[in-house]
Amino acid sequence: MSDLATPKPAAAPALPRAWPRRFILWGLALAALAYLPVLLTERMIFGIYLSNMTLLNLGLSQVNLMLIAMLGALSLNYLTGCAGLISIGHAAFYATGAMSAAVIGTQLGLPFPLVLIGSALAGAVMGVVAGLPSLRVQGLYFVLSTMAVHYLVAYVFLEYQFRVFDVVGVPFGTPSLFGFELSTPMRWYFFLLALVALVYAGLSNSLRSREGRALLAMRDHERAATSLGVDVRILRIKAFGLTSAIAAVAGTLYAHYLSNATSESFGITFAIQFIAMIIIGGMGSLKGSLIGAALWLLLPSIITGFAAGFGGGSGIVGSMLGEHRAQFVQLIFGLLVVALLIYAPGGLVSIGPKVRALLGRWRKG
Amino acid sequence: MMTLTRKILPTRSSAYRALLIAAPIIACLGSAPALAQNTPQDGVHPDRVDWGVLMDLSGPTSASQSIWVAGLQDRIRMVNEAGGVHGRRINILAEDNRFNAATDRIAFEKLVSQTPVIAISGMGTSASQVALSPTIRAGKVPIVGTYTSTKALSEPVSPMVYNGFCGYKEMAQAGVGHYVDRLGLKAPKVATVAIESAGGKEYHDFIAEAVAKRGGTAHHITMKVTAVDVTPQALELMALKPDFITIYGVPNTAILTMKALQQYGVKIPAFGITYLGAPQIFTAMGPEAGANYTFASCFTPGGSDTLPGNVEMMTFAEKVGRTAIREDINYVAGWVAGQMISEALQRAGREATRAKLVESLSKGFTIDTKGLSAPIVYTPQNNTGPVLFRMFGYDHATRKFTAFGEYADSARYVQ
Repeated sequence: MSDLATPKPAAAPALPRAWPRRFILWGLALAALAYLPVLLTERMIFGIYLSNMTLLNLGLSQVNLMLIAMLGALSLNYLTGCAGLISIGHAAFYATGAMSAAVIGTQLGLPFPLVLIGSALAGAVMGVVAGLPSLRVQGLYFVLSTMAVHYLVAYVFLEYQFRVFDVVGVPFGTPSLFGFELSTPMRWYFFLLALVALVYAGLSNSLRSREGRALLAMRDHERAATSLGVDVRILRIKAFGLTSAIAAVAGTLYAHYLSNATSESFGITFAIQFIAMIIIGGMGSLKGSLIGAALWLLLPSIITGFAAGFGGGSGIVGSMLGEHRAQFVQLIFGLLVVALLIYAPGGLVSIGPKVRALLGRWRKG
Repeated sequence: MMTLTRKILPTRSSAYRALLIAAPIIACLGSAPALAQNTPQDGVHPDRVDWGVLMDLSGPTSASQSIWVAGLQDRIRMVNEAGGVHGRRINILAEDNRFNAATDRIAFEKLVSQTPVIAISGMGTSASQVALSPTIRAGKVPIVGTYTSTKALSEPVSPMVYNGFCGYKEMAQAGVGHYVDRLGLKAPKVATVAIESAGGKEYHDFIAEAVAKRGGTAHHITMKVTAVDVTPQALELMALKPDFITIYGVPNTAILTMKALQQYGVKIPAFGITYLGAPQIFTAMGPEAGANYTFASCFTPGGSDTLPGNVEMMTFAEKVGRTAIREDINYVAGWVAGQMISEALQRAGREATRAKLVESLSKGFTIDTKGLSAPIVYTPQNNTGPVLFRMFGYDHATRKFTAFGEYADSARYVQ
């Protein structure tokens, strides 16, 4: 008789065996995340001062900007990787967030929580506007329409900056959340870490919901999804609205963190970097967004640190690491990205299962 | 027995995992003391002083900014070869900001606290200069010898900031004054051709102000930084018929504008900003279009005279294999910034700290560049840096820059 005919009796409910170990690992990870800003600020461990290279040439500002970039990468991966809508309008959504923050916070002087809400709403509206062409055009034509949105917003930002402020740019004050001033990099870190975790959890959960599954179905086969009763038009607009709201919040935080923004802050290369992050991390994987943003923001600095450590010698290598260090770093970073795309086209997130399988085979002998 | 072993000893799988987690942690902790350094907070070591440079070395403006860094490094190399300052070698830590405000902030904070330096030079990205100005003004690390000067950082005067490049305001005043007098104009009609940027708009505002003072009018014509065809701008210029043009942007902005005008047989005199003072720009324009072009500069290009400062720089540049860039105005500006660094450290004394450096500089000082510029004077009330200008053209036959007048001549234009 087949298994279908004789179902096995259900196992008695019990905690999974891996549960305590997972709990410990989570605890250790949280402890490490909590200790990281202290380590990067104090730059010492057990009273021993650590050199810059021991800390991989990293600083807390880098980590904070990485966390802000993670918000942008998460939202773009949700839109492009999960919903299948390729967009190069992310810089425009960032700029929308920064502009909204300037109006609500800098000009009207309203509290920071309202600034965040206002930016999210403005971003969502801009996202819906940017997503409207997706109802009529697809593929490269749609990509071009998001590019047009980018230039429109860049122009509006330029005009806004010069009409209301001046050449110096748009200033942003120190934000305060219910009396908790984000006045130090460490405070920013804990706020941003919590926010990234919240956005990650929210987007992960939404992908498990009915609409999330419909979104994935739309990406994989739009006609099949439509035949199952999914209204892809509404879904596209919703995806744009949600992700651009997140990107706008990220733009608000970016502008506040840097304390000033100009029309030049959100150029087309700024938008392209998010596409690079999600390709490197893994298209369609939220975890990949985090990994891609981390790699994009941190790796050049780590390579720079090593290049500086080994530089100063004579000959071609000495010259490369000394006088042409910046170009050398770009070269190495570029080569690493190319190698990654060749050997792990699914992004960094696809390497994990491969490594686990390899380790498994090795352990079995 | 088997069960007992499993209970007491870890399974093979969990042992491997524990080892995988523990190994890097143990390695890090174990290597920490070996890798630890007793890094002084202000970057002053027994044998060297660490000095930071923050510039675009691989981004869109690296073509000019990296030459400035080369000039600075060469000047410091010369100082180090002569024994350094107070027996210490000056170690330049050049950070690449890729013309990005976020990267600039990261690099700035790195130089302030990670690889501490006594002071920072360069800061060539105006947007991040503005963003960082509150932090700089709050006073941790002095900025000595900026590549670009923004209002946010320069006004009001701060003991933490010492400009090191020609300012746009003075550049506009000197350039407009020179051309109005040279062409004998009563109500000048001027056109600014500038790339679409905040800096371009600021420069045009200074030009408009200087022109208005002489009863004239100024028009703003923009183009993309990546423009490859400037026919619309050339047609606009022909329709406008300005008495002279002033150009702000990247080398291509000047080259394309002058070449396009030449194509139409239009000979309107033009002057570019200091950054557009490279021999390659004149060579690309050719003798005919280049004959109508000059640039306003507070520095003397390499090889254009035989004053001691110029000869010293040209000789050393040749010695270290920089003949290709030594005539570039950015190289000269970097060289002068290098001189500022060594003289600033000299003033800070043998036991230099950030605080002592600021204290010594804030009293005021003068840099004698031996003819590479007019003497650069800093006072407690004014840290503008180089303010006197000359116009320079290019002789295609001799491949040398030619100066119009003296630096002192521009004193009557600059306010």
